[in-house]
Amino acid sequence: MTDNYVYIIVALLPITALMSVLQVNPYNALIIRGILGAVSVMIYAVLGAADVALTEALVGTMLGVALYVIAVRSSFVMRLGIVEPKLEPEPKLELELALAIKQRKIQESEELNENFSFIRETLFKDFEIEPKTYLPEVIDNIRKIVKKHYLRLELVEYPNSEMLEEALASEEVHAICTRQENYSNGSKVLTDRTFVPKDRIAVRVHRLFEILQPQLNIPNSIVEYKAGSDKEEKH
Amino acid sequence: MDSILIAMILALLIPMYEACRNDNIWQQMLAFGSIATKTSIIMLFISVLRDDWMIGVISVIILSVGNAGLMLLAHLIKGLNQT
Amino acid sequence: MIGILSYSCIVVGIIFWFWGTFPLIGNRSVVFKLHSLSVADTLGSIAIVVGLLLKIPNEWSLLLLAIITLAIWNTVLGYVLAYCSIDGENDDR
Repeated sequence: MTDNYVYIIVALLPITALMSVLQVNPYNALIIRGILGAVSVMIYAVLGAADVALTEALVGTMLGVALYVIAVRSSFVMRLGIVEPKLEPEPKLELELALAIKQRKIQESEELNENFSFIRETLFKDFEIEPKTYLPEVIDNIRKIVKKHYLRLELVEYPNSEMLEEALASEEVHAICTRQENYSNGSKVLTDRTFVPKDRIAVRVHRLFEILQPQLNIPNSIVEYKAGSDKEEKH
Repeated sequence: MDSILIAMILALLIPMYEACRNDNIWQQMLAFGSIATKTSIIMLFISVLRDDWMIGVISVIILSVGNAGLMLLAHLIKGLNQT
Repeated sequence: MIGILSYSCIVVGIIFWFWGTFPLIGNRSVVFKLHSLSVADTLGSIAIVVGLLLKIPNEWSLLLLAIITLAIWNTVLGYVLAYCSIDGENDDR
């Protein structure tokens, strides 16, 4: 039973355990955990515990690692709420749309409605109008920062800013990103000098705020911390 | 026979070193697959060496199930990289 | 005679293992490593198992099962890994 090679095989176990502890990225650590499982299966079998080895292989290595990957994937996510981009054609285009409809001379109103949407879609395709991506540079920057901490960024779109604030308050999202356009107060008259788009990022989780605050350096953007009802720690 | 076994364990050490050194997740998956195959072959070898049926059956089961688990894991990680 | 044949099979298998595993250390792309690794692991392992089969024929059912499992699952696994890694890896090929 006590052959020489048994000692060498048993010595592999602490090496792999150390490797798994030293990994920083959670997914890499999980794969090393799988390697640790394979090595420990070998040790159990060599030492004569066949049932333990089988259990370790089926439950510990296969099921455990797969479940942990799913769990890490669904929990290491930062949900960022934004107002969904509006798909509005420009006025000039609206004119051309009307012209196109007129040219086609469609009488029946039902048909017209169907065709209207069809023409609209084709026009949009023709002019290559994409729905305006909202705040692309800020979102890219946040994604880059958050990726350093192995978090995924998930965008959640809301129809208007009131629902966005409500979602932040009811803890549906971890942070919201809004673009404030400065109107001269109250009268909603846009003057050229005061029009500065200002991106405001409100973060509910304090740890995320600590991560984002020093690293997000885009002009005209501010990061602020809004304390939620409970002090949930993230990451 | 012992020297053959020690050579096999040395071959097992190479993908382990690789998995420790490389940070790319697919390279680590490759190393994991290699280690899974190698450990079960070593187990099979030991079972023949000792004329032990029990270890042999376990090693063959692990050879097939471990590979299936590896495929599952690969698909999970692929879905992870896409989002 | 049989003993020499079985030993030579096992030694050839181990040589295959080393030959296929050493490219893993370099900085090549995943697909290159996968190619050498799958060839070496499958063929080397089959050679080792055949060597064992010649050495101890009374466990032939188990060893035959191992050979079949290796031949099928390792090729499928190589295909799946290549499919997944080509899709997921665009940054440092």
